[in-house]
Amino acid sequence: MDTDADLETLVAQKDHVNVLRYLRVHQLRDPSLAVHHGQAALKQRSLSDVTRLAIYEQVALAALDLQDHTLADECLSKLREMGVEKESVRFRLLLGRCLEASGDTTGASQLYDTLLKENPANSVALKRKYCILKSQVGQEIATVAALNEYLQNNYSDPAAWSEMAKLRMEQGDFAKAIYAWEEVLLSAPTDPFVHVSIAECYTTVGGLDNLEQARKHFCQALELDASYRRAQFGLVVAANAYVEAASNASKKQLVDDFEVQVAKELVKFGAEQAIQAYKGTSMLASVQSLMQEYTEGVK
Amino acid sequence: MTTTLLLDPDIRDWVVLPLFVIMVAAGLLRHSVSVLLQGSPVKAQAISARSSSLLRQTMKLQTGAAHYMTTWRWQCRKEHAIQTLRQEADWAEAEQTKKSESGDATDNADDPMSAMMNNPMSMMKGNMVFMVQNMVMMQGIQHFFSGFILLKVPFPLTAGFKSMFQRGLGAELPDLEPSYVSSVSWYFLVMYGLRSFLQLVIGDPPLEVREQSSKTMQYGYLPPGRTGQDGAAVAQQLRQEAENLEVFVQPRKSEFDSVEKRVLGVQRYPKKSKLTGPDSHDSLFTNANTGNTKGKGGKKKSN
Repeated sequence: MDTDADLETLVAQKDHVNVLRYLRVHQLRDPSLAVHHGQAALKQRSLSDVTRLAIYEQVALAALDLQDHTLADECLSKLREMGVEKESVRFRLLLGRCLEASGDTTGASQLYDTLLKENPANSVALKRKYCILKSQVGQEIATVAALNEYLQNNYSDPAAWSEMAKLRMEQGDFAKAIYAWEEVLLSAPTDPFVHVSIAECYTTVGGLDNLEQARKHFCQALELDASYRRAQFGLVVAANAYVEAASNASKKQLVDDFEVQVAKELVKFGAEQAIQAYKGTSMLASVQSLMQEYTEGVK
Repeated sequence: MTTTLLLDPDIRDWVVLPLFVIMVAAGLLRHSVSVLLQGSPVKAQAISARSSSLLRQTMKLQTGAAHYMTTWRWQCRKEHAIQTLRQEADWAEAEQTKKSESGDATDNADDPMSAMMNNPMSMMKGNMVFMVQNMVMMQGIQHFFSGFILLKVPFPLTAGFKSMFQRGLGAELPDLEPSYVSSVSWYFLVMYGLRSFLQLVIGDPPLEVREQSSKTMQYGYLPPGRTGQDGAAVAQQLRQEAENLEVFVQPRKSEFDSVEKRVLGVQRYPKKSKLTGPDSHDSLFTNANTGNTKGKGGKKKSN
């Protein structure tokens, strides 16, 4: 970044170019701000060519967010006027986005296919193909296939893995979702949200072994962030489910008494943490009664 | 013997300062020339892009992230990773032979050899500018500024430096302290010292130019001047990593296994009794706090 200033300061100073840069660097999605400052910045004469081209691109994408297709078309034609070739990869990707926004998904897919034929390592084109399929109804299988193709070429992209995990969770395939979340875990092990997501998947599937894993992941989330309420509630639920599953277990399953004890302690611990978190709020009474149901079950 | 020489102030006015100014100007010129001579981005090798991303992900297994999943799951992942790496290595080699058989001439930068054939100057361009300028400057200095002592460096030098820094000062003056140096040494001193100064003066390119280079990578191209990797070379790397993983053993169990103990605290975590079953009430062999003991520690004494 050229300046380390905050966004509010930049807006107050009417530093249009740097506001746009801030939005780009921090990947903030604020289309009205981008359009407003972009149009103001383009009026300035003293912009270098590179900056001007980048601003046109940013304004075009923001206009698509605001459903302002005329502004997007204007930006595209201005880019061509400034000397950008039709065969430019960056221009064609922007064109593809405009096509997608206007509803011409077949045209956009064809464009991305052409780009991929030219350069199979074009990860942005693969991402857009997946996005097109995801926005369409009834294309679950094709969506998953497209995302798999992207992941095969970009195995180390944690954002793509979390996208896969969410997709699998939507489809109800929790085992594969857990696998995908664990790939995210390898990249970001200290993120409590990832642990909570894994634990929730395990809890949904159920079964003694899975619930044990769920307990552990909820505990890990609490170790990383003791005030994480979702983890606190989740711990109570998962540990309680473990105790119930243990008591309902068939004769064939080996039930470890020690683990059952641990689970009971975890229920009490989680309940205490939750009640502690809600102290002083109006919801305390309802939380207390809820936790009482769980803790009474394990006595 | 310490002799203090008095040097002509003209030396300072006409050699030291002009030489400094010339070198600053030459550095800026060199930077502009290297920017102009930059080549265009080259298509990235799809095979190596895919395989190296797999490699990056499997290497994360060896990092501290292993302590955020159970030992058993980590071992399963390790085995799976080894298998995947070997499969990917086979695929990379197969693709590479397929590619070289089909004779795809449009794909340059397939491997360092063909990249050099197609674009023989690409590797040399950046270095050549620097080398040419170096040679020219040194010749110029030796021609114009030789034969006199330039300055005395403020720190003492050992005698070994005499032959290096006092070249051209007539015959080797044995009495002269090594601290008195000639102009060539001033040139070298300034050259290395100016590198960081020039970085400050030239400054970072604007954000858009930096974004451009990162976008180039995203669109599947390599930045100019870089050559891609051969499918065979990348397959070699993958097999090597598979072997590394096979041998890799975690020194300790995963920390994740004991996370519940840490969260509950050692006080609250139930204690495992060594005995279960009919003997568990034996007070000699069990802990007092274990739930298995019957009656002890749990009853409140009522008076």
